[in-house]
Amino acid sequence: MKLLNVYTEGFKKTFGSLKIVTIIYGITLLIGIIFSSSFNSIMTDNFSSRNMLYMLFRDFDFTVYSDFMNNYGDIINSFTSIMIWFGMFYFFFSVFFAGGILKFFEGSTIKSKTQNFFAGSSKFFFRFLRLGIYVLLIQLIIFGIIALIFSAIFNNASKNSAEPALFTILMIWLAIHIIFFIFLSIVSDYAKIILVKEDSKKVWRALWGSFKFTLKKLYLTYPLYIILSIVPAVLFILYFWLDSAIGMHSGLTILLMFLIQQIFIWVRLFAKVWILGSQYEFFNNHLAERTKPLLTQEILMNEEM
Amino acid sequence: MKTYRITFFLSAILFSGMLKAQIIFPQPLSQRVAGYNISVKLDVDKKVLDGNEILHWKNYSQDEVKELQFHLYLNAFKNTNSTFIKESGGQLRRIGFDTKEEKSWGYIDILSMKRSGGENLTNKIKFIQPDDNNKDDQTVISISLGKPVRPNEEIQLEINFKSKLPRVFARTGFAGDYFLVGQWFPKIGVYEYPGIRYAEKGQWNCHQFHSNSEFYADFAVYDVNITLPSKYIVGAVGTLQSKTNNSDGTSTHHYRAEDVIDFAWTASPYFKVVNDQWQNVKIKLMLQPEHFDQAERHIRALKSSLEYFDQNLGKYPYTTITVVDPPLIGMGSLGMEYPTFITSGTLWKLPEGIRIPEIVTVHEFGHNYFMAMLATNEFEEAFLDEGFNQYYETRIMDKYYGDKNSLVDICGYHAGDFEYTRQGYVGMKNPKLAEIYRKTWEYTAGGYGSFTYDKTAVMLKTLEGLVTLPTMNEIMKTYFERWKFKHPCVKDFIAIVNEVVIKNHGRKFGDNMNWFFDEVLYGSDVCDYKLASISNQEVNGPMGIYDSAGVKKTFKQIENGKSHYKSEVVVYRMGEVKLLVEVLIHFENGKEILEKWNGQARTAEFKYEGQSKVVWAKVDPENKIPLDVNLVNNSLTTEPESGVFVKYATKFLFWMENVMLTFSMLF
Repeated sequence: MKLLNVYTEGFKKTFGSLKIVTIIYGITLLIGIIFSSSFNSIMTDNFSSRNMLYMLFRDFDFTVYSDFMNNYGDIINSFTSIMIWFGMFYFFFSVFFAGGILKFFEGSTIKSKTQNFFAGSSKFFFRFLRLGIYVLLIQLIIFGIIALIFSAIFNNASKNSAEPALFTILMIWLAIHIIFFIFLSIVSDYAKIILVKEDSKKVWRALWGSFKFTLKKLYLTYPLYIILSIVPAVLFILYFWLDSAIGMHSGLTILLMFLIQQIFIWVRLFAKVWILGSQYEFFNNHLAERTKPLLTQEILMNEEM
Repeated sequence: MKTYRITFFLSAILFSGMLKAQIIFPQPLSQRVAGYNISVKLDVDKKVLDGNEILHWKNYSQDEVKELQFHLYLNAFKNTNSTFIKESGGQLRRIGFDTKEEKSWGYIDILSMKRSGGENLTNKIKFIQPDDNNKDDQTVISISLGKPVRPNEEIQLEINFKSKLPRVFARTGFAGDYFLVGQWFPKIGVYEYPGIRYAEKGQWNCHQFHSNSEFYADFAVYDVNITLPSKYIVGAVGTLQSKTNNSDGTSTHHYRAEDVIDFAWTASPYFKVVNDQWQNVKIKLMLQPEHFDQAERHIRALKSSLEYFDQNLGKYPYTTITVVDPPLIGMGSLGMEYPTFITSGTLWKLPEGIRIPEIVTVHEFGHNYFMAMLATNEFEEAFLDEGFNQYYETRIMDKYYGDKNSLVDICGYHAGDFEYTRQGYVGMKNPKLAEIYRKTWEYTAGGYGSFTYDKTAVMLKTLEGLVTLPTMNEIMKTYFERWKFKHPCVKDFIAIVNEVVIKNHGRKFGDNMNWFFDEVLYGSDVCDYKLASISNQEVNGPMGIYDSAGVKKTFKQIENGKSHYKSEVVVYRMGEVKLLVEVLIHFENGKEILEKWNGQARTAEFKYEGQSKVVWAKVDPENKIPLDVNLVNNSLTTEPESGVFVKYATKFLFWMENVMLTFSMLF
């Protein structure tokens, strides 16, 4: 029931920030459209008269696709590079907006929600950037340690074991990576919440406080995150099923799939904000149960010393 | 009583002789140059074979043969200075050789060699390196004979040898308790004399073991006794004659194979065996336990192959076929062929839409026709086996599993076997890197797989497109029937192509088809025809003043008011390979013209005048020339459509958004 209340309140908060979510979605869509329309333009200018390519409209054709990539694949490769680079840029973009979202949840004297949002984004950007870099580094270190351990186990097992055993080792390896990744993501989220609530610049302290909090309440913090994370996963499966069922072989089906795709993206964004909103609500509830905030308690401990 | 005892004794000898060697073919299929009687014991812990070989070799040439040459293939795995390891960099098909453990190395030692009549040849064995002068390579030996082997004379040798099997990474060896034992005994080379391949005089054709090469041997009868611990399940070339359980916990498996060029075998305690039959051919499928649920996939592929080859190439004469499924740790032995005995390969829980076991089974079985029965020289003309077999593999897979999804058909993405084979050639960074006709060890800059397998298959498919499928089938059947068990070379194949094409098509392609092979087999250039432009010029007809029979006539405009066009379609020859091409021209009113061009000049212009303009045109509309490296430029339209680009732009947008959101998950 506790989790259900948290989800409900989180949803209300997120729903209240629908305008913000839509702004973020709009910017994401705009970036995507800029590049996809360049792609469309280049392809149309150079290849619209090559009617062999029309076969790809009806269905995937390996010969046409591979001949195109053999002879003109540099065009596609350059767009793929751009995609990756912009993905990395989007990391900074999400760092920027995270502050605005949490500040929005926090509430403010600024009447305009949008102004409040951008004010929060600017204010917390560098703190959140530091937090993001620290968390990334910790992720990499933990990833490396797990990879070292499991690759040694796998290499040893591969000399004598059959595939089922090796597959099991790989699945355990992957599961441990995912468990740690999710754990650190949760720690990162609560660290953001602490930084905003305390308006603090002490990123490492916020991380440490968040780590203790997440661990202490692991039976709630972990499922809270996981349950909502299933939403995008389910959406992916649903999308692939719709893609194979509907296809994109006429103007109508292209339009329909475009709408489905954009709904998917929007819901994915909404789910991300909902998770943050629910975590914010959960943390607030925890504070309400305590007499003093985490950092204040530490200050008191220092005074006693 | 004495008579009774004599009769009994003679009967016992006769009966035991029958038990010992049950004749498979009363009428030999081949000129049996050699006979091998081998007894071998496998030490499963030390991975060592102790063997005794009685070899009969008959000199069918007109020469007095003064030396013998043998292959000792296992010495390729002896150390890092062997030609094989040097050329391969210690890997084959991306499976590496574990050099850290001493047990990984392999070798073969001849302990003694004696000629019947008493001549001890042991000290006359010397290593030779006929290909690269690498003095450390010990994969070929020469033995000088005190007394030459005269024409039509047979020599008998008794050879004691010891073979240490390597950890398997290149076809043969061990992996845990699994053994795939190939190229494990001293194998005599092929003495070629005039009439065999290119030989102008008698000489040994006995190459070193190279990274890219496979094998070449004469037809023989093999009688092999294999002794190893009883818990091992054994499969081998040929037919099982008997299995005897010995008192020391071992069993002896007696196999016999006739009219074959090699003998390999396998052993593992874990095989699960499935027996089946196709007509008179007994099928033995030896699977890993974790792959047992894929038995039906292997059987179906094998039976499809047996049926297809029987109908389209020739009869499979042997009475057995064994298919071995290696474990993951023994993957170095997958996808290999021996007469009547092949190794396949699959992965645990592999989806039906990824047809790895099917393709490998079909491919390796096909080698029974090209490697085993035609028995071409895999060192010097590997394409005659690999490429010809690859061509048939694609025909079989595309027929039984669909030409657009015979390789893979999963989650909406699909590819056919021939499509993928073609991509193996046209998708090369440099398809002009080498020629098909090249000795295997001369592919020093790479490309062995692409040219030997892929380009050869595409070459044959293009030949099929030019001469039609019925003629191609006649060519292949004639080649197989005329040359099976006789070691043909490519000039023998070309002679048959010329013979059959002229018979069926007259001089349509010229005096012969040599020009085709000069371009595609012996040359390294590429084929690329491009539909360069379509132009439609609206014309008003003649205007102005014209003299006609002394009278001046004035023309002001088109009399009937209908449009009139002068159209031109231009085709370029971008590559250096010149082939007959067809060009399909499609007009606005639905009319189509199929033009035929000899493909020689750099450009061809097709001009038309009429009331309908040309809307689109396509070079090679029926895809008869898969050698063309760029099919995208084969067609052009004057009425472009944008649907396909909008579709992929929409997909690009979606995936770009997803990539960005995924990166945002890092914070």
